[in-house]
Amino acid sequence: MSRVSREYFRLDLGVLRPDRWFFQSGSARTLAAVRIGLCALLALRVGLRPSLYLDLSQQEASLFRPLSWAKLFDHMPSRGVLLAALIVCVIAAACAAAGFKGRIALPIAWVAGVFLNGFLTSQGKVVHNDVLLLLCMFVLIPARHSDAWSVDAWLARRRGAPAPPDESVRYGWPVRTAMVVVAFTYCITGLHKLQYTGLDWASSDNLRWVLYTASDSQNGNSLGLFIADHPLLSHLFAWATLFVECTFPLALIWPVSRWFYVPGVVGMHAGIYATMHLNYVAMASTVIIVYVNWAWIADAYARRREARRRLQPAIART
Amino acid sequence: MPDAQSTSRLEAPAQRDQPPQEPPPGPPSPRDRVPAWTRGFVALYLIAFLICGVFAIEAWPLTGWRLFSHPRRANLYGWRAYTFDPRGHETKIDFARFPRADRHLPLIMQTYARLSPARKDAVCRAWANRVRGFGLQVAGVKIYRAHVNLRLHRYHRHAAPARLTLFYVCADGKGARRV
Repeated sequence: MSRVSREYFRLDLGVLRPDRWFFQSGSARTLAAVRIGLCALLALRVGLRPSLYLDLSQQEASLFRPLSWAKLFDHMPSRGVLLAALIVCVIAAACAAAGFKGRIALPIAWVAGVFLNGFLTSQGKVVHNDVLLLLCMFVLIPARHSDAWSVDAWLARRRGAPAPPDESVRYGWPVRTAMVVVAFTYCITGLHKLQYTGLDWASSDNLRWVLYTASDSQNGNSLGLFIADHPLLSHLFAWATLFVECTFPLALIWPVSRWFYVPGVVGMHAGIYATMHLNYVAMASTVIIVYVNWAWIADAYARRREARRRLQPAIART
Repeated sequence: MPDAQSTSRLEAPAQRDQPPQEPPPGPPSPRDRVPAWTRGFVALYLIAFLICGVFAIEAWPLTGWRLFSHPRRANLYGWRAYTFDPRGHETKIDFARFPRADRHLPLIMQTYARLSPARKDAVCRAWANRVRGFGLQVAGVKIYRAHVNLRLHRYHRHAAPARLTLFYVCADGKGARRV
């Protein structure tokens, strides 16, 4: 077993010295993958659901419930303004994903995304679906995210500019900061359950009542009703949810545990969708984008292709 | 194995059969140092994120992350809204037919009691106007508190009928009245 793989199974207590942990070296390709993933996700989320945002303009002013910076407005913006923001957001996010003028495109996409989703959350309820995506994207704004896997890098190479290093401290901190944001998002969510409800959140029939209510709002949901009708099953899911959420920061200091936490929260969101029809695909995708080691996958894929390429002439000779 | 020309400072020919050594310890080059403002940015951002999260402050997109955190009870209380015509005949408001942004009755009712009388009336008028758009006669809006006992739900696809208690009446032009 190599030195690196042994470390993968060990506790990495370096996070207790944040200054060193955050600002250690990282891969330009991993940072680029996070840029591509988050920006493409934003472009898809906004571009594929235009009516969700454009319909906001039809809201009566008396029903407007602004939150945070949206309190600067008296009512929802007009359809024209929303449409302009939507077009800007999709184009800028697509450019940032491709790494074309990425340092300019990414902040523009982020501002337009916050503008659109800020009004979506001004209907009386805080909408969390895209918040984690936007919070992780914000970290990338001052980062050098387009030094690899980008049109900008390709153009720079064509101009004869020296290639940036694959590993540098410039590339490590944005991904690690995003990892911390994701980990503590789930941890805080779990801790609020304990703060407001205590262990009763899992040990009482709380989840059963949630599932019955959600089922009624969908005119009956067989899976949700099955779990709610079996108290032991609903307790099991409730305890699992509490455990995964509250202990997610362990994924920061114990790398191998990511194989549990990432599928764990993706499974949790899939379960919420199946039983309650609440779509948290943006949160689940953000966790995958931020926590997967894309540079390692790219290297493994390149090695496999190389091995196959070497093997092919040998097969042809035999 | 690398040829002689590719041999780097860290990989002398004598060491070719040994694993490459770590770079000698020392301060990173200025090009590889993270600027102070970057450290400040990360620190400030994470502090703001954690403060909003831990203290449940809604400074959106920084948020309090209260997702299903409040306990649910078997006695579920909700809201139902009905329009009534001049003869008093009531029709349940079908919010699913409204534009998406106007469908959220429970969300509006969370803060309804705290609204000014004029604002309460404006909410009712907005719903009444939407229903008139469907061709119905509307003289006003009645808002009921609905109580459902979820214990009766077990092994039943639908909940038991809700018990309704009249809470507000908004007759057009006369404002909202708490019953």
